[in-house]
Amino acid sequence: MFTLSALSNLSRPVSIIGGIIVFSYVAIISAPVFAEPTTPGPIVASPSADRQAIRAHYERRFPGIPVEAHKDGAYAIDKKAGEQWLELEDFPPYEIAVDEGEDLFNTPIGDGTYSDCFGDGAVKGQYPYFDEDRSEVVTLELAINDCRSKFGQPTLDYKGAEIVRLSAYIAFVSRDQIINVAEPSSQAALLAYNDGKRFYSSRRGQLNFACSSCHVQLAGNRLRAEKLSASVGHVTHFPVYRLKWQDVGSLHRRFARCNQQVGAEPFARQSPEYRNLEYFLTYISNGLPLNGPAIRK
Amino acid sequence: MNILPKLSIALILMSSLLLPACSEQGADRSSEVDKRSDTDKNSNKEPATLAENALAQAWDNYNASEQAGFAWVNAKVALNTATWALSEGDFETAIAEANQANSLAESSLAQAAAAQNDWRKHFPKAPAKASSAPNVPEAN
Ligand code: HEC
Repeated sequence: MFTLSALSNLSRPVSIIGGIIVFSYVAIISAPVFAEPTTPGPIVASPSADRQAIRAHYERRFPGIPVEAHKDGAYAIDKKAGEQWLELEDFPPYEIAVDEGEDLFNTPIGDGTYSDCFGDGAVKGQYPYFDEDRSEVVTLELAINDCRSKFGQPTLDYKGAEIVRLSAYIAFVSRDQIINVAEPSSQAALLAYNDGKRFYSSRRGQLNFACSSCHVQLAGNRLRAEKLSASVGHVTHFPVYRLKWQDVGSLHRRFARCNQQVGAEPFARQSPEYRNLEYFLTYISNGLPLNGPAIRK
Repeated sequence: MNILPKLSIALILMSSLLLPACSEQGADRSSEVDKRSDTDKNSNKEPATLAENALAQAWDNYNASEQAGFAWVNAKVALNTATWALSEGDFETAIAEANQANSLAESSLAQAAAAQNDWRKHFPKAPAKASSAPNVPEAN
């Protein structure tokens, strides 16, 4: 077990105004450090109470903006950027990825096809879910690779172009399905959910920000050129064509980017950490329609 | 006139002032000796060994922070620079970067420790009326 005796300087976010981040340094005095980093601790609130709490927070913070509108991310709260964004939708740059994804979807995989696993492909609303037998969160990307394994094909690289195109197609044909993640009920499902919630709420990186620092406490403020979006709605529209990436990218790629921008080492795509985070974020977005793929800056 | 008594008083006074000063000097000297023996110990070691030790220590803390899920990018960058400097034979840079990496890794471990309890503060609390809403199941 670790013990730290040194004083450590941790910065705390104070405000983000016009892209200037001010930090005050606080000293964290020696602490008997974690015995087991993943010990879940008592579950403080039920998932449905969490969902109500975070929705209520955004209702208070953005009066007049229905929570469902956050499916459009920052554009729900930034009218001007929203207008430009709507214009981009006239010739959506993700269309090519959707077409390529459709071709891939209809290409046989060994002795089978993706249809054998996913029917017509309109299945995004079924993911992620907690698989009790496997005792883990199954995301759409994981299910795509499971399907390939079933037919003896090598799994796809989660960072590669193929899987993100397949999921772009599946997202497209699943549009307007309503997110409806089952209430985590078993102890194992609750642990996975709570792990995601804890990840979301833990400060990380040298900048010492949690996801919630930016997307809850500071939601609606500007960080550089962008307004910070609400987390309810974060999962509705992935994969996303980002102008910065010049390509479609997955939700976990976005998680990694947000980790890195505060100076934290990111986790692997489809790592248990990011799958649990996705599970938590999707649960709190229950009731919102799927609207992927989408365009973002 | 006999000045002896006056002299002896002056001597006593002076010595009473000097004694503590001497004893402090003594203490100082002994710590200097300690320090010197430390430096001697270090200077007996090859700079390469010192750099390797500093790097190993930094890796230990970095790995612990990664294990906890709180590794920092800049700690890794400093570790990589230290490793590179060591391979180039630039021990001074290797030690400086390894120490920097180590202190960043220690800070990230303190952050991981703080997060153990603090994370709950960073999630919105249910408004009073929500907790009595009928569709909220019992908290487990
Ligand atoms: C330093 C502030 C900051 C932190 C901390 C942060 N993000 Fe972000 N995040 C941003 C910014 C800026 C954007 C782009 C503008 C927007 O959509 O909010 C963004 C965008 C996103 C998006 C895409 C939103 C969309 O509409 O497509 C997701 C998803 C996201 N963040 C999740 C997270 C998660 C999960 C964490 C924690 C691991 C996190 N963020 C931590 C600043 C942050």
